[in-house]
Amino acid sequence: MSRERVAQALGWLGFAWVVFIIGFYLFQGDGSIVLNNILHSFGWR
Amino acid sequence: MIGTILNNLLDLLLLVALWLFGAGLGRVVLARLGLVGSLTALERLIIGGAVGLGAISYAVLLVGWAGFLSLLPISVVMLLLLALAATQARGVLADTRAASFGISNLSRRPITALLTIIMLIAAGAALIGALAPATDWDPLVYHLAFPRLYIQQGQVFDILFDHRGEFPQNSEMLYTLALLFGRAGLAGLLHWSMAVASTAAVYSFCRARLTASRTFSTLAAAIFLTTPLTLTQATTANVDLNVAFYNFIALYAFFVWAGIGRVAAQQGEINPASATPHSALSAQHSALILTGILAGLSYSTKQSSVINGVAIALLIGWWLLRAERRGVMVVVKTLAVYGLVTLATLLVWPLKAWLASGNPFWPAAYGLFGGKAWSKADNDFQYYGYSVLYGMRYPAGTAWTELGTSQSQNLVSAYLLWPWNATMHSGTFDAGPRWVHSIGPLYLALLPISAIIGLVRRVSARSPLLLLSIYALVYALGWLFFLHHMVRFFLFALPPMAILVAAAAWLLMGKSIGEEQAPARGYAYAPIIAALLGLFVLLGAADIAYDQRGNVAVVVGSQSATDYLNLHAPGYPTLDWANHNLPANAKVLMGWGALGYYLDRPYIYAEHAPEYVGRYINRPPQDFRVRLQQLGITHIIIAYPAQFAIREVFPPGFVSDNGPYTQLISPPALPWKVYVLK
Repeated sequence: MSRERVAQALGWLGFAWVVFIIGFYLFQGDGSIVLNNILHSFGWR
Repeated sequence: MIGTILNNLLDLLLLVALWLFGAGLGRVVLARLGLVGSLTALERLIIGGAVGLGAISYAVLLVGWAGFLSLLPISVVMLLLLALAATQARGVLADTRAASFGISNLSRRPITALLTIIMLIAAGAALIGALAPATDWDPLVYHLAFPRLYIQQGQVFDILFDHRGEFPQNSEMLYTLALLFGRAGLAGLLHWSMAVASTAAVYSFCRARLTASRTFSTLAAAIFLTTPLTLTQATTANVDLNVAFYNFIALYAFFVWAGIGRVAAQQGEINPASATPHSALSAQHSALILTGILAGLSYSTKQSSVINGVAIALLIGWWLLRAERRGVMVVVKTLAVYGLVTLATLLVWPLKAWLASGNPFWPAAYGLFGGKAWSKADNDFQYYGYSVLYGMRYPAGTAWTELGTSQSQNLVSAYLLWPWNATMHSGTFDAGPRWVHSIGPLYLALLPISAIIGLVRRVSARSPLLLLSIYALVYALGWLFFLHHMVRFFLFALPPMAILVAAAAWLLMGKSIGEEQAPARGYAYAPIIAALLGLFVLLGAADIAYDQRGNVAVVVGSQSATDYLNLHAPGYPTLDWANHNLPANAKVLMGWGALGYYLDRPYIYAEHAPEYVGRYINRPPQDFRVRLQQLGITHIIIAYPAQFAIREVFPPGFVSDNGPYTQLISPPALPWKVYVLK
């Protein structure tokens, strides 16, 4: 694999990590408190 | 209502004046060191302001310590310093104009304009909290309470009845100055201004020392400011943002010393010709001295900044050995100069603590130095027990209110998983019931990526991002092994961490930072990363605005300060009652959760350094009464007699509503209880 391809693959891996952390934070972690507050203030939960 | 608004505006004006005063004083030092030409206009204002406010703090301390803490002597000293600062007035005004012009350029591009607007909303919302009367625990127990006691006594006296009493208190000296002139609002604003100054410093650092990109610099600044932790702290008169600011400015000065700043030179903001110092010192030597001064000033805001001083020393060593390929002797000499200047700058605080208690770091390092009014049991509880109380010993997700009651967890996994736990379940790390003291997800999401990019690409030893990473790593290890495991203490290294977060996102999106080339270009996910960053910047600003909506009324004067305090300040109705009903010569023992700031009478705390009062728990109550009489105590105020068993200090049964030693005198409706000593 060329260096460019390795870099591309690592980039996608990094992106997956970012999405995983932010997703977990928003739905299972501290962020869920905020998310609930926001949804609640719109009357969605 | 108009009166309240004008009063708050006056505090804001005084805040600006104080910063300009500081910038002028600091510019005197920068000029003496011959560094004026080596810095951009914004850098001269920020770094100069840091040095100048430090000098003002020390002036208040020295006058106050000598026992002349009253309006006239302080005014005379401030006028003398002002005369000195005025010699640089023209330069400061020119710098202010140049820096404002630079910042106004942010409105030219939609993305920087949008980020700036979000930052203005966030800072504006936090300002509402800062202008509201103080109601948080730490300011009421010591950050504002000690300054008020100093002013009452006309002296910065030694406080051994609270284990925080001999901590370095440069920030509190600024609050003392504000309170002395009757400007309590200014004290809160000073802490808020440290968030703004740190944000400006992050922007300035990125722009002058990392990259020409305004967008990147604005993004890093926005990530720092909109971290929930930063904004929450900005609403209170704590000192944590002062620590964050001074730590970062000291690190900043290291970059100036290392000569990392070709960006600014290329932009023509630094004129290499004028960078030649006018003094006998070389430019590098001058910047080393500046770094030492700032590392010393950061210690003078909090002892934990020892970690900052050590991290910078390691960076100096790294730079000389790995980047410049210099010999060990050069490292030793350079570190000696840096260390001596740092020590000389901070010396007065440990000296004061040592004279008061016999321990220069009282009551820390008790095993080494001992010290009055403290014990091994206290040491174990406060300086070991507390550090495992927060976070590490409890299963992730344990509510902060349940700390101390649940099962301990495997410390090995706790030490391995803390970045995850502190991000996802920050309540366990003393972040409180909301997410307000939390750090948000961006740091865990992006810091490992900046590390991996660095490792995979084996960046050069001179890379600014590598230097920031070393600093962040040393700080994180320091947090892990030497500090209480509170998320709040990450604030002290948050500015460089925010820059690394922005950098990781930037590289991941296929953009370059200065000489740091992106690994690859044209990632399809780049817009999603940008959107996620934007989402959290916006969430941070929206949350603080939502959080502060209840404080608008008191800030614009439609709610009176007394009504506000009765509602929000713990025990305020009791203290207000005590101020009106206790005899003028009363002296109070504050026990079990009672906070002193709003009490007009002199007081000492019972539980914050129990040895000072004497541990009478297993001794005759008569002896305790004699001890209280020796201390001049006439009354006792207790906040939570039911929740906290009156132990460690009080002999059992000593405090009762109508017993042999005390009698309850406060009306039953009041939240705290006031007793008179029989």
